[in-house]
Amino acid sequence: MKAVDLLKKAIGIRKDVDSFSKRVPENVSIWYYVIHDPQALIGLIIIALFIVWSIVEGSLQIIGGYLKDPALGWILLPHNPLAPPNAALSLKPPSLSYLFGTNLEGEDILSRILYAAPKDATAAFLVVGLAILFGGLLGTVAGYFGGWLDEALMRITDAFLAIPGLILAIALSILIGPGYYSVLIALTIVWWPIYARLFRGQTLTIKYRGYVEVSRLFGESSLKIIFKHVFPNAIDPVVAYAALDFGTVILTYSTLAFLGIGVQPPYPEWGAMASNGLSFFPGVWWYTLFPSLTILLVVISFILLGDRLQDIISGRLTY
Amino acid sequence: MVNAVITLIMLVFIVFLLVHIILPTPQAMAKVYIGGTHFTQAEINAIIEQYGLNKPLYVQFLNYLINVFHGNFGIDTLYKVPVMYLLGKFIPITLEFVIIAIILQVLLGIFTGSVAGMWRNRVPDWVIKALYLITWAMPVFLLATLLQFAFAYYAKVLPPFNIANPLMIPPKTITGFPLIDAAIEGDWPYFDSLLQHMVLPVLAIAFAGFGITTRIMRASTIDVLDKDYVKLSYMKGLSSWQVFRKTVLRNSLIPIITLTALTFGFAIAGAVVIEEIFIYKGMGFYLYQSTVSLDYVAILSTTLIVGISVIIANFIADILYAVVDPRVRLE
Amino acid sequence: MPQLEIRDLEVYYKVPFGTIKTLFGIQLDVEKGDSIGIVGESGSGKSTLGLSIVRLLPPNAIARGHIFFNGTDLLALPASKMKDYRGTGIFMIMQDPFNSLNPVKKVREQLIEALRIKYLRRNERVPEESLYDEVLKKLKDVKLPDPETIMDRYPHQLSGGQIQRIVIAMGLLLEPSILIADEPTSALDVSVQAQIIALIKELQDKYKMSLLFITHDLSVAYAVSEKLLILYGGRILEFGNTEDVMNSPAHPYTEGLLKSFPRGNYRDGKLYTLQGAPPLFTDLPNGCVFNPRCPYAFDRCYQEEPGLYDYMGRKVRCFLRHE
Repeated sequence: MKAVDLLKKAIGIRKDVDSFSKRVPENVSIWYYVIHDPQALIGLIIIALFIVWSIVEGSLQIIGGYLKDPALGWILLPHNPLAPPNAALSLKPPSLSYLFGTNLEGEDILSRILYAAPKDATAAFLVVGLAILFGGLLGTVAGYFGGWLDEALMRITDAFLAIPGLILAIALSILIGPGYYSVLIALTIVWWPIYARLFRGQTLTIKYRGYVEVSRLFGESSLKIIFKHVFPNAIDPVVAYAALDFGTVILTYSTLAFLGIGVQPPYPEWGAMASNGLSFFPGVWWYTLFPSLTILLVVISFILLGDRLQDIISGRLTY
Repeated sequence: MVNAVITLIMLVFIVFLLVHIILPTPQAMAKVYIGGTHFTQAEINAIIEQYGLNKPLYVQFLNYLINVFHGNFGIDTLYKVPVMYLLGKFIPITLEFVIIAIILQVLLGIFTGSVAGMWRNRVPDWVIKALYLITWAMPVFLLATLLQFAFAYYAKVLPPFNIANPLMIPPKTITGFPLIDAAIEGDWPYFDSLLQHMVLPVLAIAFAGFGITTRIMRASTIDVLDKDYVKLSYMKGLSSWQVFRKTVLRNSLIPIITLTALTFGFAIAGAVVIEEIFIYKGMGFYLYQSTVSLDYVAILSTTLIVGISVIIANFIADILYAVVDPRVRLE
Repeated sequence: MPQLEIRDLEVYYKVPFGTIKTLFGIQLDVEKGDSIGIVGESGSGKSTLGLSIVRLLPPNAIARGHIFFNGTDLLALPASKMKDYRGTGIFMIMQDPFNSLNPVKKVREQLIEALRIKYLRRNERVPEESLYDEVLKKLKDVKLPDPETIMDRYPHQLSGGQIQRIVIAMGLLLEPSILIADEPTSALDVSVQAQIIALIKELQDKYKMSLLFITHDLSVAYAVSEKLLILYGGRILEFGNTEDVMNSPAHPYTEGLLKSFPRGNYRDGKLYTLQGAPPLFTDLPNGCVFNPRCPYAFDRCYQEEPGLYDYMGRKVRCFLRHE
């Protein structure tokens, strides 16, 4: 197969139909497409709101922690998300003052959803970021040097990828111990192999490009070539994949919380809230529905954006 | 084949490492092998001797590897029976409904993906995309809860939980797969009850997972439609439907084989949540119980078993791949 | 009445944020038995022209105008009726042999499938063995060595030359009245190229088909065609008898192409090169499309577009030939 591709390249087959029906013009930036595409734009707007809110609310919580004034964490929220149990307010349906209703302890569900947002955002960006860093480095090095190093890495990633992410994450977070950070560590361990694979594949195609060969000819060190040429050029398709992946991390993180793994009570977590409300469904429908729909909304916007980014990068936009 | 075996050994090694990180001393390990809470020092020493728990690590790993291939994982702390016995009981139950769900999901994905690909950027494509985006992004527990509410509590056409009617006496265990056992025994009322209880978990897994199949099938259909051999197929004078059936479908199905092995892993993971919601007592329910009771041996053994079954599924996919694609067959 | 009449053909591609027009008012008559060479650089719209005749343009393309095939306007037909005109009416050979045959089916199945369609349309029932024999005979016609073995092969086991012969055989099985060949030899070795071209020419005469031969190579077009159509920037620049065009090119572009065409002993002299590159469809010049590269361009060429003028028995799009 490869020989044929090379042959075609050498002869220079050009399909003039393709050249203007399929390709995205190179002089237009990806973001120009994103903001002109309804699907990607909706995704981008919701993600932007989610990130901005998470930064604001997260900073308030951190500052509140330093000042020993936890109330600062809910200064922007309609109600105290960590209020002590109040039987009088228990399981109130949605109303003007409690837009999403209240839970069994009489806490405002909307406030709890907003209070938990920074933890989900941090989980998504930290896990994918660390996975790109570790997986990217290992994958690039393995792809670049090849040989037994490559072979070994591929078998290790195969072994990791054989275990479904959720199940490995359950096992790891139970082993590491309860808590938010153990879930983050577990998810990072689950997530790096796929990025190692992605970067390895990219590296294999970049390795033989002219500019890399020239650099090697001029005696640049392998390390320098990897950081200067290979890693930066491999990142584009990875970004499109990662955009989709943020949503998957949030989904997995919530599912873990649903199973009682992760953030410990009384701190709110979307998946845990949905899980608590489940036994009251469908009578107290707002209890489980609003946290679940929040997860759905955030995940779907990452998918909307990521799906479109992949279309743009793979040149499938006009189809 | 060689790769699959190396991956398998690597998988066991990773789980072995995890076991040793949590149970660093021979004593701690021995306690897990005995199970229960009361041990005498003599008992522990006997177990350490018996399993060679004080030997160097590489010897222990070899022993562990041998144990794994003999199905010897240790004792469950909750049920006080060997983990393998429980897994042997629970795995067929999960495997049965997961395989049915995957078949449904793949058929659904192939159909919707082909339609979306053939009518790309037109109404059918948009409708299908909206549908699978929602089911894909929806947390599995919400999807399962909504199904349970709609069909079991609201319409009252299907039972909300359990594997079968608990008032009925299950048939003798022969293969471990409830449906097959009921069929062998000729216990049709029980068979019927099994089927009814299986519908909702199967639908939950199939709906949660079909989006990925649809998406890949759509992309694959579009890629194939772009190929010159499809143009040549049209050039013969075939109608669009004939071109699709004779040329497009067979070629665009090729990536679905590999994908199905992949979705097998997702489906098993989804089963953990779904079995809890539908109180469908299979492997996922067992794993969930083990996480609650912090039963390390059970958790790691289940993880290992799932990993092994996914590797086997991938291996089968590779063979099927060669059957379908002549280009692979001859290389 | 000509077999194929193309009238005011225009093709647009919908692309992100707009449309690109790639064919501009194409007019062409193909008489029975004609062989026409369509010559253009890559990006001139020549493949688009071929694909729009058989209506196999990508889904984001729109074709306007008329293409009459034996009096039926193909562009006005509903998509489901178009299949009746493909194969037995018009057959097209694609440019990339390595993607031309279905990779998961044996050569035999693919050829017999084509043959069945022909007999289905004629309402004839033919036994399986005689289908096989007919396929075998046609494979011998295209001078494929060892056809019995090759019929039981998969496409990836064959060379580009072998596949192109098989595709030509498929065309012959369907007995089309018009054969369109879209650069059938550009992916092949030079020696195989010559064989395939000779084969197409020979079979065209033998089976009395009309031939539209699309190529970027003027020498190939010269070898196969009696009429020559020069396409540039989506427009016909010159159309006439091959001999006339080659002996005395009327358009500056054709002249440039011929000059840069190495003939005889060019080692002692300098090889002429056409300056510049063909225009992008996203950025066409004002006036005549060829003006940025034309050595004779004058004021008028930058202001208005020349029409397709009659000049010494051919058609030329150039003010210099407009009396």
